[in-house]
Amino acid sequence: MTMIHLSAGAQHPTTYEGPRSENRITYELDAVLDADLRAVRGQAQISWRNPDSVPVDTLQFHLYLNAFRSSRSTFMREGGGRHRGFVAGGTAGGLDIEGLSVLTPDGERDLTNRLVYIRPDDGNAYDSTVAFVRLPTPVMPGKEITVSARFLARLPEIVARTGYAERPDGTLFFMVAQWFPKLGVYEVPGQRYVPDDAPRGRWNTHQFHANSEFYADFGTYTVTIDVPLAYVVGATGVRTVSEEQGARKRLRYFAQDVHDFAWTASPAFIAHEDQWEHVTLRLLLQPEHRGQAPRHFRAAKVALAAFDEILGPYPYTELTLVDGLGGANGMEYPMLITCGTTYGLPGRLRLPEVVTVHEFGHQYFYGLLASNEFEEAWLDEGMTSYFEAKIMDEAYGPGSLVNVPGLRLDDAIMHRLNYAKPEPSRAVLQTRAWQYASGADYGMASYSKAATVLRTLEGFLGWPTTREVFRTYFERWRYRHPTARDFQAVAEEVSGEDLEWFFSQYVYGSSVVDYAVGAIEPAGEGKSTVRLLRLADGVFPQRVRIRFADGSAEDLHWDGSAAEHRLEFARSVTEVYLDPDNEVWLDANRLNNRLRTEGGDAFALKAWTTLAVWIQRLLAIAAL
Amino acid sequence: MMLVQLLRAGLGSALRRFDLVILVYGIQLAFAAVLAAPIARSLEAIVGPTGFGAELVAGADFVLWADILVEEARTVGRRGLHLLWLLPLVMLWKAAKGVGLIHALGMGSGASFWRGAMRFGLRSVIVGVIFTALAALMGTLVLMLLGTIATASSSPVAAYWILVVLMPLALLALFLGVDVLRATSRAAIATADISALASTRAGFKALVRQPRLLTVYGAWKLLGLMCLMLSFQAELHVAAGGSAAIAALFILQQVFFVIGVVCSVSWYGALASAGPGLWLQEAESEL
Repeated sequence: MTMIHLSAGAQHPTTYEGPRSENRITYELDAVLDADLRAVRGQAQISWRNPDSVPVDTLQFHLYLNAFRSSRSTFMREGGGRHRGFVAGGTAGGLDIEGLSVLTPDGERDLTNRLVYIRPDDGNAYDSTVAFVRLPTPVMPGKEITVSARFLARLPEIVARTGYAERPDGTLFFMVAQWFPKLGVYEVPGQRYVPDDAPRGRWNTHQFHANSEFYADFGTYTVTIDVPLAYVVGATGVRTVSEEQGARKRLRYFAQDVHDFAWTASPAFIAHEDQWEHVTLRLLLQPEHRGQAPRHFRAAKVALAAFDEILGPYPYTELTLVDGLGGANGMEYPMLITCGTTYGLPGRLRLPEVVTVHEFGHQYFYGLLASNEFEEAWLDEGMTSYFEAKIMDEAYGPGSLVNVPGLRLDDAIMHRLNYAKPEPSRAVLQTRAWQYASGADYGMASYSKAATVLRTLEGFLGWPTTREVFRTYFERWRYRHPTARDFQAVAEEVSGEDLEWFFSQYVYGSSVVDYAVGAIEPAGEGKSTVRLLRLADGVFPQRVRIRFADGSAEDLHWDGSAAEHRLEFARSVTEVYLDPDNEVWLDANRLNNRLRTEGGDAFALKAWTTLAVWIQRLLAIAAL
Repeated sequence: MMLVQLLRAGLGSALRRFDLVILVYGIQLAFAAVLAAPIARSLEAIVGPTGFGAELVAGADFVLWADILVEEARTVGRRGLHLLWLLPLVMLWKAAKGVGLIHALGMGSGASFWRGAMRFGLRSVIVGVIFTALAALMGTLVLMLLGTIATASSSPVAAYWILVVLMPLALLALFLGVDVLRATSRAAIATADISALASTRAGFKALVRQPRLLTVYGAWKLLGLMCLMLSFQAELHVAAGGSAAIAALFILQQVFFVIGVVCSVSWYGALASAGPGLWLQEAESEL
């Protein structure tokens, strides 16, 4: 028996008709989940339009799943088979291209044997995550080519965001990501870092690294997913057809103006639905987490509202939130994010909230502003972290991350500490993701340092200007592939400031900011000399607040360039405070920003009483 | 003795011998004051000249605290290390306190705490070491057993209940069980003047003969715990303020600590009033 449900009144995937991106690629994918084999058997028809002004006779594909094919792949070598603390399981994965052909006016030409693996980043002969194929006839400028591929996506035990996992009750969970042959981005002259005067464009592909995410071109996806009847499915796009055939069902999804397609399936999912303005929210929770649905929905709505207000509208009509298992969590795909939680997690520990806000933020910084995550990871992770912290701190108030009696930790402060301690100079934002010395450096720089750099830029420009910078950046670059230089250009244009000094030090360089008040020295006859110090290589203009013995105060400006700066005052100075409004979040040591000549606060008493009381408590507990 | 009688007798002892309450409280306050002073002085030396004291008094500023801990790691670490003195001191004090209180409360008015502490202190320390070792051994076993079960269970729900609920409860029960046995053993030493080893048997048998002692123990400990919680609650509600507010908070917290000591002394008072019959058998068998 066959039952077909045409989703009557099915939503269009975007709030507008036709694509707004260049829409160079069209994918028609047919996927059959073989749960027993832990694999997806697939068929793909990929149409690509040549955007260059010269003929192009090659195509390059990402075959990311091959990262899990053996322990000698670049991903496995770099990360030791670990990703975010999760270990690659015993089951290898891989993307087997069983057939590749090109449709020509003369019929179908087999290209399978022309597929050659290339290793653009490290030359590792055992890595097969990028493939190259020479076409029998070049694609002329502005013309389209369609290739057809048969493939078997063998899913690994879940690691690095993709694969399968078995739940304690024996049911399966599948996170099917990076599962099909995906075209690289053909960058034309003038696009990103390809010189304007280059004779031709070039494919931009990178191997799958332990510390990198992805890069792809915008397009349209029509995907049919065939799964066992009992499975609950979540996917990029909107569902247009649902068809039951015996013990299985076929679901068709449509998405446009996206650059990836991921899906998840499990019979255990409990599906919840909610609505935020034009966006239908689907939440697929593990059954033991069903009580936490309101937390996810609230966080998603907070994020939707904030990004909508600050940057501009979320253009898609659906968002699927997935509570995955293990290494599947904490990842973004167009219109689908994984934001898992933990059983029994108290509401005052806002881990699902921060992950939901962060991953939703990627719908903007990655989804719509599709920067190259291999080459400029900070543009997506850092900008997302900056907004995540801003939104969390505003929506959830003090203690936005952790708010338990006696301990409140804000999200933005967590990023600042993660950057500043213990060694802030150890990584540069503008670094290729796989070239960081370690995963920790990649994480610190791409997430926390970038968030802190942007928070400092906000302090320098002021929030209204910063907001305008981001809004302009979004409006100008959405559905495209911006670079750090593009962001800098927008920031300079909107603010009217030459920001090269800022970007060269803190984005392209590893400069560290640390200013200190060196001394307040009496200079006779009630006069004072103040010594300000620049203790690190980073230069940042400083506001200096001076308090005088007569109770008055004065704010001065210091350009911060000299290693030492002396100020003379005809009055007696009692306190000097650098960056009194706490705007330079990059300052690696705030404690030395302030000096006074007189005591008088209650700190000594507070320190002693607090410590004494804690020791009394310990003694009392020991005496219990 | 009936339960209520035991409770009343304990409280009566504590109130009659309020000097013991003051003594125990005073010594604990002195410990705390002496241990806290050098750390507080170091922190004041670091923070005082900066003027950030007011911010730090008003609440936990993680950025400034990170600066203090990282930039002044050596100073803070050196001062923090001296807190390690606390451990042996606490053990010695607890040993002396147990037998000193039982002696002073059991021998009628005017009996000396210090005489009891001096006379039975060494045996009390041995009892302390025995029960500490027992607690460590059993605690390790509980951790290993429940940890293994949690690891073997693939269910996150089961793991949660085992690790977050069952394990702390099991460790608390173990801690309290060992603590009550240690207290009754010390009571046996100070009352029946028996050896440390015999006192451990006597302590156990006393609980079998007078199981309501467990209820008495639980009642006084619960009240003591509430006093601790109240001292913490007070801190949360009076986080900021000038010197006057800080001093007022400290005084309020000391009131809770004094009440907590009353609870502790009352428990020993109840033990002392349980009667020499409780320990007689071990005393006779030693003879």
